[in-house]
Amino acid sequence: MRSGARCDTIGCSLLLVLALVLGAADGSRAQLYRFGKNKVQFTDFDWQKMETPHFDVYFYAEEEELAGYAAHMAEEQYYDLEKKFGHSVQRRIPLVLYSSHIYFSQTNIIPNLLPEGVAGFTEFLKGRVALPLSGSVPEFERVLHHELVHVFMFDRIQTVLQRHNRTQYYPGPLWFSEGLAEYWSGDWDSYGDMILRDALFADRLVSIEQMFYINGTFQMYKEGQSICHYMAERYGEDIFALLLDNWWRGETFAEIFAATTGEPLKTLDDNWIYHLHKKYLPDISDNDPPTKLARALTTEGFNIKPELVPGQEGAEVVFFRNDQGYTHIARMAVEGGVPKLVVEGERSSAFESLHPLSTQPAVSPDGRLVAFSAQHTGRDHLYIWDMEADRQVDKFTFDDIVAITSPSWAPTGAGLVFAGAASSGLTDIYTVDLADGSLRQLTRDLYHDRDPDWSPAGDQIVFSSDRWSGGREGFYNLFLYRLDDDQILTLTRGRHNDVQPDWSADGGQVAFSSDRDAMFNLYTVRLPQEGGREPVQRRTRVLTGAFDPVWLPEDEGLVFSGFEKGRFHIYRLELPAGEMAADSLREASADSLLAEVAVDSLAPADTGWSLEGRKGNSLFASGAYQRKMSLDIAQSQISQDPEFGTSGGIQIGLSDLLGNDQYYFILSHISGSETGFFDGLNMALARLHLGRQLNVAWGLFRLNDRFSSRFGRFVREKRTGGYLELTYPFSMFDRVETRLSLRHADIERQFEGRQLEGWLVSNYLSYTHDSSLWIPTGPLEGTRYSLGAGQTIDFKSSRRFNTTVFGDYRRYFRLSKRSSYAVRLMGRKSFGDVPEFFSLGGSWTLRGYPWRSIWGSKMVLVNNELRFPLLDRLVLGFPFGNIDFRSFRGAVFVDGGNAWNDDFEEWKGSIGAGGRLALGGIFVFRLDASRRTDFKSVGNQTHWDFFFGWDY
Amino acid sequence: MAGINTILAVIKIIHSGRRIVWLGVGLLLLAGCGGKVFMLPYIDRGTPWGQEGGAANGRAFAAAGIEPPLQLLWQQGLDGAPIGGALMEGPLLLQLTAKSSLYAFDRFNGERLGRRGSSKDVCAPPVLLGSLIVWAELGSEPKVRALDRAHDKERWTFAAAVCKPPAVQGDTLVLATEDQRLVALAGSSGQTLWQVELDHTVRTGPAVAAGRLYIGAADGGVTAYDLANGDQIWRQQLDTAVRTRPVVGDSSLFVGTAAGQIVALELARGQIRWRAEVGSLPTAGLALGDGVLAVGAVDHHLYGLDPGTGAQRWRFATQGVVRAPPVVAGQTLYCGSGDKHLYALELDSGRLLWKYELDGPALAGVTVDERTVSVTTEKRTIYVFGRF
Repeated sequence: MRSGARCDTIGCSLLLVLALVLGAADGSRAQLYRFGKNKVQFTDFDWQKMETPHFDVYFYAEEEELAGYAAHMAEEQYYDLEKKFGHSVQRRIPLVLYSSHIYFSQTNIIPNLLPEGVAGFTEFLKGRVALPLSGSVPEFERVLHHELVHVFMFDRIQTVLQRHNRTQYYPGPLWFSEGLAEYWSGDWDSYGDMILRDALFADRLVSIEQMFYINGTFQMYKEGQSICHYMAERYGEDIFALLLDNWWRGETFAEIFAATTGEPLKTLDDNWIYHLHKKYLPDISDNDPPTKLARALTTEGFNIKPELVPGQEGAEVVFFRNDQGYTHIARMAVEGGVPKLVVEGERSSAFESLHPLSTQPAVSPDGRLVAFSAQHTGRDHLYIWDMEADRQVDKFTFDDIVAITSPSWAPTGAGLVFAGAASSGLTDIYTVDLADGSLRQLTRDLYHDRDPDWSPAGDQIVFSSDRWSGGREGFYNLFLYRLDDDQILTLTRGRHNDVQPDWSADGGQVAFSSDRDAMFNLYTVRLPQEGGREPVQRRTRVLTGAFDPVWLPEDEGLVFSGFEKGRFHIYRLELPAGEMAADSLREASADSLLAEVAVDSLAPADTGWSLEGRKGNSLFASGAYQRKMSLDIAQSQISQDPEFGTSGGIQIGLSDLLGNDQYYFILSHISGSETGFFDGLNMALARLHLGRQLNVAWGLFRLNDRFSSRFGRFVREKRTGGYLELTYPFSMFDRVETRLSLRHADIERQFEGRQLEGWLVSNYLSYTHDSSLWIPTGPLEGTRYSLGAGQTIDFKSSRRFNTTVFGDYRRYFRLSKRSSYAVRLMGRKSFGDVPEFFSLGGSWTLRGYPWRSIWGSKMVLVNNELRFPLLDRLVLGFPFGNIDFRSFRGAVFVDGGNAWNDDFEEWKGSIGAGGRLALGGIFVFRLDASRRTDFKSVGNQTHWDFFFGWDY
Repeated sequence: MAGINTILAVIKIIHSGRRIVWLGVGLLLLAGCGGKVFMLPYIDRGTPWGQEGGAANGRAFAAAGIEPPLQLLWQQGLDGAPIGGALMEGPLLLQLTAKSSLYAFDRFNGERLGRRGSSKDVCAPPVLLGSLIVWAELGSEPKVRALDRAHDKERWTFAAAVCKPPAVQGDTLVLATEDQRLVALAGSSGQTLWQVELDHTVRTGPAVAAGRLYIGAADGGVTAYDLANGDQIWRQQLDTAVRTRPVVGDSSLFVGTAAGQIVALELARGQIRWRAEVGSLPTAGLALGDGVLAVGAVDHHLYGLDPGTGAQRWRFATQGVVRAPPVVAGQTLYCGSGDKHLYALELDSGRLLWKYELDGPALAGVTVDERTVSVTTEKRTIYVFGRF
């Protein structure tokens, strides 16, 4: 999960907070601003807690019914997993529920920004499980089961290791933990077949030995699940419990596996791959990859969810496209060509997310407007965009609807139908009148109604839903909603998934995607006439998967999303003149290809299924959430420095269960202080309130000694005081921050021989924007800037110490998929009796000059850097094995700047080149060679800068 | 402290004149042997001693076991969770822990008589073999060690990694090794009598009875061998891995499988007599008593089956997973549960007779003889119950 400058771990987060604690205390220095995207608490939740025998279920009032269901599901699943693991979890499990992914993404349980692909998580500091309802109760149940497998697995491993005196926790390979969670949380499905079949035929299948190359990907999840299936077949279902029982018997998974099965892991690897060949190779005889049976309209990036744009000069399609790291809506001719940008997404607060995996754009009947949903201010908005005028013409929000998916235009163009998820977590079908924004709710139940499409005649809506008996197991069928009498009729029926229906232009047929023959393919069905039976016709024989069909004009063919070589692209399929004969289909393959829809099947939909008896809120006690702080992290350290002497300290982090309130405490001492024990004592306490959109932090500090050496010469400052910091994020990208601190300061500025003392008040205000797109070595595209000003005043004498203004603007221009030109413009100025000083020099500022060697109360810096890939993989061989680096990049740069007090004198500059090697997280190895320049001539001495850190 | 314990022991022991002998032995240990508990003179009384999953024939049966209600005689803390149940012989109680410590207690008064530690990992419960105590160590050079308790000397070692409970009959010790061998050793000398290469790994220990050895494998195979020479007598293939140590009845052999089935095989030729479902993973050992085959399962339940037909006679619900092998003592079934209780059930009906709340889950086997019941919890506490 990479997301701007956000850290990926709690520990990293803590480091940021510690920096905040000390930084805020360090009020005399204004340049401490932070980039990074924001996790915004747009919604105030009234949290409640429900206690079941094994769980503490945390929920808010709007989702009380969901919480009741979830509580029962969790208890049932606990019992199931207790049997599978042969293990009881010896603690209560906190289960935090959200009724929407949009709400879920606001959680403070972990600091990471949560991508839409994250369906839930289990964290291990407090053992919390957090997950949202996606709209589908069976899917929610599956994700809950998945996360509880992690809980059991973690607890079992910990118990076994402790039992056998092992102090180091070994979590095992990710493919195994996620694969087992997938395996035990649901049946193998068509998506798994699609991933593995594609990987096999595209020669992209990754062996167990090499699995770390695809760590965290969907392919890894499905390969892991497949391996666990195979392990259960080969060694028995209890192999997993045995492996965990033997977890102490090895330091690697291979050792544990060998101790348990008596076989090397390589044997499993080889046998599993052979098994996949036996299973899937025969499929090629009757099926083809999408490119072999349809024309690919796109070839680069990720392209999905096409929608036809009718036009007199030739039809076009709009679709979601991500070829540069951001998802946007693109448009291209159905005959092919270069995609053109329609709506730029994921770069501005208006379109924070376009939800490309769960929704689709909709084009008005006249082909002029496109309707789509996008996340903004903590909920989805329904946007209407004029494609000709290239501007937004309307925007709708609805009070109780949090998420909006799959809009479809009424044939009159006067309204839209869409699937909306309420704050209760349930998803239903709605129509909206575009004239006045009035809403009509068509369905109102716990079934997951999705993919609505308004018929050309305007009298009915076809949609996909789990509102039938097989829906309890997660199977979707097609239904018709008759608008004149509000009747819901069954269109297709069977234990398979029929999704993404699309009406033909004449309203006589519906195209849809279905896995009724084990692979997702395109089918069409005619609406049966009275007394007749109409066959469901299979239109593709795709080896991997075909989705999102839309009819071409005159029903001459279909445009669809196809999966091949690990990517989705848009394809155009010509349909033969006339329909494929049902008989020929019968002859061509098994009966399962052909289903029939009879008139009598267009009966009112049955009552489906219910969750009777699972409304746990009437059985389990619940009450208001009581905030209790508990330990997140406690660490101590001691160090020896020849100049500072021996120093040691402890850092403690506490937070409540929801992570909304956090305490951090630092206590350290430097024994080398020449002025006694108390002079060497440093303490800081910080309190953060993150539960609302306005984040509040306050703290107290008593800091001493030479902890600050910002520009190579020490400042000794004794500070005792407190601070208050307010941060108000407007969106994921923008925020305003202000900070006020009051402290008693005793400052010894060695570099200018001044001794200062007084009660100082500092206040700063800044505005920060960050919409950058990152790769492992740093930003690749987007914009970041921060502007601000502040001042420090002596509280008693009203003497103005200094006033400081600063600005930092960074822009990353994408030159190609993995190359960019980065520019940074930075300026700072401090004036007053005791101005701040700023420094330049070193790898992060002005290369070719020693670290912080140039300093003054004014500073200007210009960096220009061309960033490009050198090697995708760098494998270094060692006797103990290979070390594999995945991102080795190069840079050429021109830097210029200066820091000064009175006279600018001259620009100091450098030109050079360097390399970057991503080692993981912030550990990016940077090595730059440069020569100095005054922009008139270039020096002949090469200077080397070496550092660890991201690119600016 | 030792003096107080001795007085308490005296008070307890005067309730039974027979125990005076053991008191003497205990005092001798305290006075003369100190920590060298393993020099306890070996007395061959011919009594069965408990081990994980029952005695050599796997039956987990003490004909004249103690009947509830019981009282706690003593409890002691250990340095680790138990590896198997305690071994009891005469006044001595031995418990191996996951921290490779072998504790010795006076089983009547709880006096800790000694502890022997090892730097090597252990994973199989030890066994008593005449005057020897035999246990297996892992590590880079895994081996089975036989220590003469009378002289505190190592008699022999055998290079093998062993994690399944060994079986003993007479002077023969049978080991199922981690490298898929079945090895019979002469207990007195450590010499290999015979060994058989197995086709598959095993997940439980063997059982021996009437000159035969029985073992189930991970591929579902159940095999009978001649204990004298290792010759295969019969083999029966089951559907899934065998998860329990076989139990030898009068005419049937009983095993539990990974699929949650209990299977009865005809003892002479291995033909399947019946299959019964218990629904989830059974415990590592079955207990065969008078007309009842008892088994625990991770679905929280203890099951009582008719050994003749496999029909379920009763089912008893605990509140936690049952991983500990149950033990039959007379008409009473004892078993620990993950719900931190030790249960005593009426064997015939499954009716609860008595239970005791422990400080942690009881996942290792209970050891029973005619005077005491011992159970050790995952919280590293050993409990011994008896009747005053």
